[in-house]
Amino acid sequence: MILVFEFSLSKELEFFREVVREFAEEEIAPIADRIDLEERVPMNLVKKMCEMGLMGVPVPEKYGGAGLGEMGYAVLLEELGRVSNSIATTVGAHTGLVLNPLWIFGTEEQKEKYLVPLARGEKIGAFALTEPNAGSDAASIQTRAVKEGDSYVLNGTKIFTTNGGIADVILVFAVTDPALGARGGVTCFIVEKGFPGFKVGVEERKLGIRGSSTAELTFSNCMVPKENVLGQVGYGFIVALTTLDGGRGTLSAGALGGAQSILEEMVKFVKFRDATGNKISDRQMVQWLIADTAMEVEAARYMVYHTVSLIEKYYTTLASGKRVSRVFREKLSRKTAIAKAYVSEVASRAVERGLQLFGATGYIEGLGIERAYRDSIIGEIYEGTNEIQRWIIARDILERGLD
Amino acid sequence: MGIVVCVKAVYDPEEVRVHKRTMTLLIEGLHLKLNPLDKYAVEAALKLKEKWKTSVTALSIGPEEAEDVLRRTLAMGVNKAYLVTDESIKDHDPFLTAYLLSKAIKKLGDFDLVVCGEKSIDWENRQVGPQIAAFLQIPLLHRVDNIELGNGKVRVREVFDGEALWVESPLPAAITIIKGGNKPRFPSPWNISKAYRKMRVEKWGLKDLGLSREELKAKTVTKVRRQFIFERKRETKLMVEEAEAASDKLISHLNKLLEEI
Repeated sequence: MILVFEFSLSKELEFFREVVREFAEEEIAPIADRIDLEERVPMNLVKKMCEMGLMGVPVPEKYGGAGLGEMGYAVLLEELGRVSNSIATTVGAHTGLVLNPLWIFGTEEQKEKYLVPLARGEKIGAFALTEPNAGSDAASIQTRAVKEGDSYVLNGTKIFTTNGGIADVILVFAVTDPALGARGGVTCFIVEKGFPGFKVGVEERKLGIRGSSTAELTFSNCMVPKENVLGQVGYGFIVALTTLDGGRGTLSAGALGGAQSILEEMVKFVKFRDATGNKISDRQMVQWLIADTAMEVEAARYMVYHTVSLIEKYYTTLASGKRVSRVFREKLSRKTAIAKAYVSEVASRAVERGLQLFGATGYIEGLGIERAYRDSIIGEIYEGTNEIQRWIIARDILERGLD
Repeated sequence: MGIVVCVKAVYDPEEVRVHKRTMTLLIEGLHLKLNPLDKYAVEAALKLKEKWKTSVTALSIGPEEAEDVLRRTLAMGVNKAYLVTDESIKDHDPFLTAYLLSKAIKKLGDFDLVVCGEKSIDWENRQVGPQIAAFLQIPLLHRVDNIELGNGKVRVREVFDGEALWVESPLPAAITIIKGGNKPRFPSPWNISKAYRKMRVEKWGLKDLGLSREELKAKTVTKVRRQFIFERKRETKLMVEEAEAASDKLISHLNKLLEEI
């Protein structure tokens, strides 16, 4: 067993964190509750973030991004998750699920046309994979793409698409060859919201992350030019899995931010709150809640940045056109599944403890605790439920063995 | 036309703990940050840069690590950054700081404006800006939240106790900035990576300023007699006497409190 841990943050990224934290504290935190109450994407704030350059953090400068890599993107998500999971989700779906696959699989023309404006924040992206009959079992998608001349004609419905209602560019997965199924029969298409036949359907109302858009998208004879195939025809599942293998790992940084903020709130509260003549921080039971949460957050933070450093290596290698060994890919897939499931559950446990500690004060609206409670749960569900993650982890361990 | 903006790298007082016995500051593991008010100074300078197509140079004195704080000014948009750093200038008081900064400003060459934050969040001496003006023998425009340039002159709004006053001065001049007017911009990720990868912070030692360590010692005028934690106590004392007797009593009471400090 060789243990390699190389994930110190550079000074550049420490500084980036400082700036994002200031931005989050000044521009997002004061309106985080309002964003949740209004139940829609705060477009003014998103516009501000686009202009500031927060929508293209990992992408190389050459393609309109800041070139701060997956580590920079994780720093961004942690700090956004610390103040609003709605905003972290919006940025995460755009960055992790759209920019990265375009960067890795796109042709130079596609990068010029789509990646650059997306990374500059001039456009917003969404990733449409899930369907009514294909959630965790993504191989069962039914949206069809049939070639007609120089175009593909798409028909079908996607649901639960994050950013669906606000996206300009959508990556859509459709079946091009039903006989081949998931391995070779699915293709990823770059769809613009203006393409005829594309429509945004119902916007879902949700338990949490209410300030993010989750929409149904319909395609009825939607014409997509053949040069908008991302990767190759039949390559869709590789695009999707490569995206999700990395994306879910980096996304766990958002959950880490959520856990961190609850820990901070708990510490502030127990030092201030009196009960029966003492600060409640004097009570051992309360101290243990703090200690347990601190232990888990600490473990989660190491896990997140270690995993993200591997994702950065993975994506940089792929984007440079080099191959990645199967062993590395499997190892990465297991590690990101571990981080995704563990950190999202750390966040949920932290917020459960926090809510109990705050009592009625946390249960009512306004302190952000009940919002955090509702917001944390999605971490256990999206980008592959934690049950799917456990399946990935166990399958890999049982087939390949422990490291 | 050139603007020099002087900035300081500080520890956030919220983060710094004080060793109760030795009264030293426990700063291990903390990051130096750009003094909050200096962000406003940089912003004011950058606004002038954008409008008048001038160049802005950031200047600081401090330990090597202060370099990161100057990177922030580069990421905000200043053209060049200089750090005066030397082992021997560790405990610099405001007078020495102003002296060294004015030396460095002269070395930078022609300038029209020197812009500083009015005070730093750590010691809050509020002396460096005015003293730079004195060393450079240029007019001082103090506690400013608004700057306009034109016809070889500068017009500023000075604010004292909520009263504002527009003042005009010939160039060059020194300006101290207070909050208001210019909300500092957030450096974009694009500029952050540029500041770290494509730009550099020029470092000057004492020798570059033509100074020796002995000269430096002679310029240190502040002597710290005692350090202690000031505890803010509120107490009400009633003195029920004839007016004159009560005032005598009050004066002697206040004198006693002063002695305790």
